[in-house]
Amino acid sequence: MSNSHLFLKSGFPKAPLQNGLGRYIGQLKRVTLKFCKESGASRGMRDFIERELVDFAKENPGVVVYVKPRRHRTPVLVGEYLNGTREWINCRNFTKEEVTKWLELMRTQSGPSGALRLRKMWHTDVPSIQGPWTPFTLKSPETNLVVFPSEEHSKPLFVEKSATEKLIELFQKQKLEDGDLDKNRAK
Amino acid sequence: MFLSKHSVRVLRPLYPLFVKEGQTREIKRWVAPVLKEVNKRKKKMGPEPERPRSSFIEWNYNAELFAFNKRLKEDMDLAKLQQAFVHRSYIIQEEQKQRANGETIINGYTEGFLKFFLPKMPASLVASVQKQLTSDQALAYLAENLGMGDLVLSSEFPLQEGTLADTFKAVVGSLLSSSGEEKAYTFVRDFVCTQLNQKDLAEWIEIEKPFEQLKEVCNGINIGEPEPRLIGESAKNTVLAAYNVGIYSDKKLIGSGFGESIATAIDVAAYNALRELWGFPENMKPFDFNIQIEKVSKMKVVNPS
Repeated sequence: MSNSHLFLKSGFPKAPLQNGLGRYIGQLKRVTLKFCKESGASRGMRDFIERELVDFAKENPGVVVYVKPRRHRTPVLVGEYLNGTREWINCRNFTKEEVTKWLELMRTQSGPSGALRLRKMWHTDVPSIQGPWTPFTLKSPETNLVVFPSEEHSKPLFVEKSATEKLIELFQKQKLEDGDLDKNRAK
Repeated sequence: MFLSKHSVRVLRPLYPLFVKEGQTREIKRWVAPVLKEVNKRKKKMGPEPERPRSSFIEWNYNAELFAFNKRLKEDMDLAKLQQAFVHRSYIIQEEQKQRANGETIINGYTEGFLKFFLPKMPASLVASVQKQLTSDQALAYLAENLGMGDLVLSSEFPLQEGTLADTFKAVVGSLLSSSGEEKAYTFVRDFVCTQLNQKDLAEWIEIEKPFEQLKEVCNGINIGEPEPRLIGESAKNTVLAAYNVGIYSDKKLIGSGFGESIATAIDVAAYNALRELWGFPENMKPFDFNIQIEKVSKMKVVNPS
C-alpha cells in the first residue's frame, strides 16, 4: 500500500444482495459512451461504436446504453451500478480493443473496483462453525472435582531427566545385560 | 294473475320447458307461483346496482378506444387518448390492488419458506422472523439495490422507505398478473428469502425468560425436566468472572452457555438449548434457496396462518 492509497476505502469482497444465490443479476445498469466525432483521441471509441456497440447492447439487454457525441472533448466511459455508485473512465487514445476490455470489466463487476482496497481476497460471515475457542472447550470434566493446590496438577507437563537418573538407568540396563551373559556362560 | 313484464321476459327462453310434448299448449299451473316468488325475492333484494360497462366480459378497452377515435373521425395517438381517460382515483385504486396482491404473495411465500425449513419453531417466532424479513426497511433496501428507485414516478425525492417498499410489492403484484403465480413466487424466493443467507436468526428473535420457556417446551415434547449444572467457572469473585452452565435433561446435555454470573449463564444456556430444540442452532445448516416452488407453496396450504 503506497501513500496515495492512504485514503482509499478498504473492505472485503462481497456479493451485493446475495447475488447469484437465487439468480444472477448483472450489476451494471447504465453505461454512457462520450466521444468526439472528429478528434483522434476518440478514434478507438468511434470504432467501437461503429463495429461492436450494437452487439454489446443486444447481448446485454439489461444494460441501458447511452451514446453522447460532444465536440473536442476526451472520450469517456461512465458506468452506473445498481448499488448507486458511478465509475468514470478516461478513454483518451484508447484502441477499440481497450474500450471493449474496459466495458467488459464494467459489465462484470458490481461497483468501481478500483475504489476499494481489498483487505483479504476472501471473506466469510461465519469464520468457525464450531464457535470460538474458550478455556472450557474440550476441558476434561475431571478437573471440576480437583481441590487446588493439587500436587499432580502443579507439576510441569514435561520434566527432563537429571544426569543422576540417566546414570542409574544406564547402570540398571548394564546389570541386566551382564546377568544375561552370566546365564549364557552357565549353560 | 299478476306477472311482471320483466319476469315474463326473463322466463320466455324457458317457455318450451313449461309445455311438454304430447300435452295441451297451456302454461302450467306452477309457473305463476314460481314467477311470483322470484319477483318477491327480487323486490326484497332491492334494485340491482348499476355496473360500469367495462366490468362486462365483452369489453376490450383497446378496441373501444380505437373505435372512439374512428367514430369521431379523428386521428389521435391512442396512448395519449388513453391518458386523457385516466383519473387519479383510478390510479390509486389500481395501485392499491397491485400492492395488495404483491404483499399477499410476499407474505405467503416467505411464511411457507420459513415453515418448511424451521418446522419445529413456534408460529409466533416464525411470524417475528417473517416480519423482519418483509419489513419496509428490508423491502426498501431490496428495491433500491435492484434499481427500482430510478424508475419510480413520484413527486417526492429522495424516495422514502415506505414508497420504495410499496414499489417492491407493486412490482411483485405486476409480475403476478403478467407472468403468473410461479414466477412471482420464484421472484420472492430469489430476492426476499435469500436475505436469510448467513443471517443469525437469533438477532430477530427475542425470548423472555428462556428457562421458563425451556421447561414448557420440555414438558411439551415429553423429555425430562431441564436441570442447570455448573460445568466450568473461572476467575470467581473478580470482575472477569466467567461461568459455564450446562442444561441437562434425562442426564443428557441439551445446551450450554456462558455468563458473568450464574443466573445469566443459566439464561444463555437455556436460550441455546431452545435454539437446538427449535431447530436453529448456531451452526445451523444453510437454507436451500434452490428449493422447488411447489414444496413451499404446499407447505402454505397445509399450515394456513
